[in-house]
Amino acid sequence: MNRFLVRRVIQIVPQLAILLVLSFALVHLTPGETGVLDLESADAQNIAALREMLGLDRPLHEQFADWAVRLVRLDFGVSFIDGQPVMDKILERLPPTLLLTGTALALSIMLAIPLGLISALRRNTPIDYGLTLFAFIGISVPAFWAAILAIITFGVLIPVLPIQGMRTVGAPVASDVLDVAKHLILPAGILGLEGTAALTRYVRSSMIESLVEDYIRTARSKGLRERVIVVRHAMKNALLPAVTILGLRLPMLVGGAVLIEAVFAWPGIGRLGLEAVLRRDYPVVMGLVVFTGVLTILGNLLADVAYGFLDPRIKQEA
Amino acid sequence: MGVTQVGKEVRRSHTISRRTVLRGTLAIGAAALGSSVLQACGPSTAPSGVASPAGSAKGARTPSGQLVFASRVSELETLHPFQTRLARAQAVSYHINEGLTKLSPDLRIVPGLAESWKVSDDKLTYTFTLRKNVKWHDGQPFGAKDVQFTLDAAGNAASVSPAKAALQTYVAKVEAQGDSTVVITLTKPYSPLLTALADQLLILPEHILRANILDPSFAKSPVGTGPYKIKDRQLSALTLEHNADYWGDKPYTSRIILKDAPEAAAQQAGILAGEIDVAAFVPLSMPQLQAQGYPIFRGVANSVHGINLDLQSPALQDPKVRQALRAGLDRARIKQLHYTDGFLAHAVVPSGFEAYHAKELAAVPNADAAAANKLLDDAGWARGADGVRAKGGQQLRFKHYAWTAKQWQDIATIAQASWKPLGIEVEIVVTENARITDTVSGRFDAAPIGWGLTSDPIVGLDLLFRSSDKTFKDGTTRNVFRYKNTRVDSLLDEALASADQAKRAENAKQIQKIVYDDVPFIPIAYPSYELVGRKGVTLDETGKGALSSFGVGFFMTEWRAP
Repeated sequence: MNRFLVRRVIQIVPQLAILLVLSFALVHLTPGETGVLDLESADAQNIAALREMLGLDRPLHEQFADWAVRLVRLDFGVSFIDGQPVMDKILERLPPTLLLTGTALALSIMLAIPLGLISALRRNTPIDYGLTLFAFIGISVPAFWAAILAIITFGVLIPVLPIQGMRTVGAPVASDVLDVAKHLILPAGILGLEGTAALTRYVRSSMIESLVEDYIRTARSKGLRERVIVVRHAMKNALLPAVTILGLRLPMLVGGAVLIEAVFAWPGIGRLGLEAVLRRDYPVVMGLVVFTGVLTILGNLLADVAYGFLDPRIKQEA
Repeated sequence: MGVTQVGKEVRRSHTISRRTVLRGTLAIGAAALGSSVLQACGPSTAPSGVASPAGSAKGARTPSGQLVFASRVSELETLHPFQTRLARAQAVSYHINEGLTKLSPDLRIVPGLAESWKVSDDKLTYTFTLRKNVKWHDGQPFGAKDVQFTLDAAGNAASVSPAKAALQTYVAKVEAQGDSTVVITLTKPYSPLLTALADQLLILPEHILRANILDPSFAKSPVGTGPYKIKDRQLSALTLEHNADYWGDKPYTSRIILKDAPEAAAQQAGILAGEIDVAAFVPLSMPQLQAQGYPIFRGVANSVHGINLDLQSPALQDPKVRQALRAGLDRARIKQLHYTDGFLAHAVVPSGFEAYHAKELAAVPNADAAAANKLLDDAGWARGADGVRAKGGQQLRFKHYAWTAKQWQDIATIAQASWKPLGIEVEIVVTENARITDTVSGRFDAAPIGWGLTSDPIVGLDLLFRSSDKTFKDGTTRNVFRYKNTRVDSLLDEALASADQAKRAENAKQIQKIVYDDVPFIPIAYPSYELVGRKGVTLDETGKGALSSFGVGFFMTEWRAP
């Protein structure tokens, strides 16, 4: 186990290096403008500040080294647009994003595992067909479109839910927690259902695979109760691939859900990144890429370690 | 890097850079067209400051009600007048901190914190008499020391103020005399000063910022003298409350909430659901809402979109050829496709700058192939065997650049189709947006660009058309055409020195006419932008400027809740 851990941790080093090189290259390769040039835009100032920040007149490797050293000290620079420290901007928006994506993820897991199991156990029955249809709709319908439908339905036609932002503004609010929760329902619901759809299919197919394994037949022939067979034997193995899928969703957890955050005006990291890109606010873009990149790498490490615990074969291979 | 570095290279600005994104003020719809940058004020006709304070003719108002504007709150994170670079933030800042002069809603320069001013005969000394009994939002008295403090800080070496370059170039000395007189001495006459004082040099409280001009807590929640003060700040909303002690006319609406609502469809739903009172979005859904009785507010943006010509390109050196290009271009077709609610452009200065706009240029037929052919025939450009005109071995073949968005490619395609029957062969080169600056800093023949004008049109004309050997990339000029005309230069010099509005406007019109004949630029359209309100929302009609130039964010005082 320790060898596996050590090896896995060492793998982080090249991953981080690649991440830094990529985010550095990102800024060097993608300057940008629109076709409308303002007579007094901040562009030239931005370019000058960027030059200074990156020291563009010096050799590339020196620039990179300097930048990387600053990053290690958690100095992400300041935004071109408003002069605020990039780190502050990111940290300020992390809680809303974690709240949104965390709730959505939890919702996905809570719904997808039972639904997937039911689907697998009732394979080729009307229940399975119904759930499959739901999953296909969930996968095919773009989330932003579903979001707009939800807004029109629950905000305009049957106005029962707030449709924008995270808190009620301007009106006295009895309970902040309740208020935020109400604002959370639509965005987290849409995001969660989108995740549920895909995850249900994974759980279903891996459960079906498990159910035909030899050890299940053995368990049945031992005369175990169906419930024990399903829960203790089949499900335990079937959920392993689901852990992988969850690991792949970790970037979203910290990176935010760009479209959903935009539609629902949720003040999260996804919005911050999108707007920074649109305004060519490079320090923010680079900061976000590195920040979410590092958290993603760490998240994957955790997923792998968890995997190691769940499946002893992985430790042996390592 | 530090905050200060951002502004190190502030160009000759003395106009605001809110243009960067007035596509902001609410203007998602306009953003789709590119920009709707501010337009602005015709500077003062009243050097002695006799004009009445903004809106005083309307009598006393009693602020009431609440309006929720769709906004992008992430753009409002700093409201420090030195740091704001985006239209929406500058618009908000303008209601909290104020300048010595102000812009009236119909875009004149009127007294602000200075109740009057005098300009010396040599145009080098401006003496401002400050308003008395003005208080900062925290109750402290406002005085001449605040003005001196702000202008000194804005002009010093470490300044990040957008007006830094103008101050360093033109201002020799700022001197407070007693509590209520400030004398600004210039190194040479510079009339855009009064505009800069209105929209860039908003006065800051010395008693708060003495130690650190860029105090981060001030940037989040500035203290000013203006009609609104910050009441509450959240990640997705900023609440402004009217200043009960305001020296001037009170706003109509007592509370304004700038609510984060970045997405067009969601803004529309917000209007329908009553969560948002005023929003701007894509024109497509406008007719539908209008039919349902929602009020639509429409204004011309302050930018001019058109085709830029490289006067040193071999095929384009003959002015007759360029005139033929302009005459033959089917601009109405382009407008129909991409500027539906915009306005066909003839002069460089958009029609929103009423005093400066050369409207007499407008009486020209669109896509006039006969006139274009005649110009080319008369100038001796004869059609060759391949149908392409030539003269002295030079064929009328050149490149027309276009950028990634469809808008620019359609302009190029329509230009190509308009000019082909005239015997002019155009090759369209689609280039990614990232290459725009490089492209128009080199040889480019023809390229479509929308130019957002400055709040003082003279400054915009100066940036575009003053003779220069610099390229666009150098940052000090926007003369991508390599246009040189000594008459234009001297008209610009006169206008920059004169504080007489009629004189400046006259020069601006003359420049537009000269440029019209020389054709470094073929104007196509002035984009518009539109706002939709919840039923019952009104905008004071005298506040034309509230829509036409600065966008809805400016002159928030003129909007009225249902």
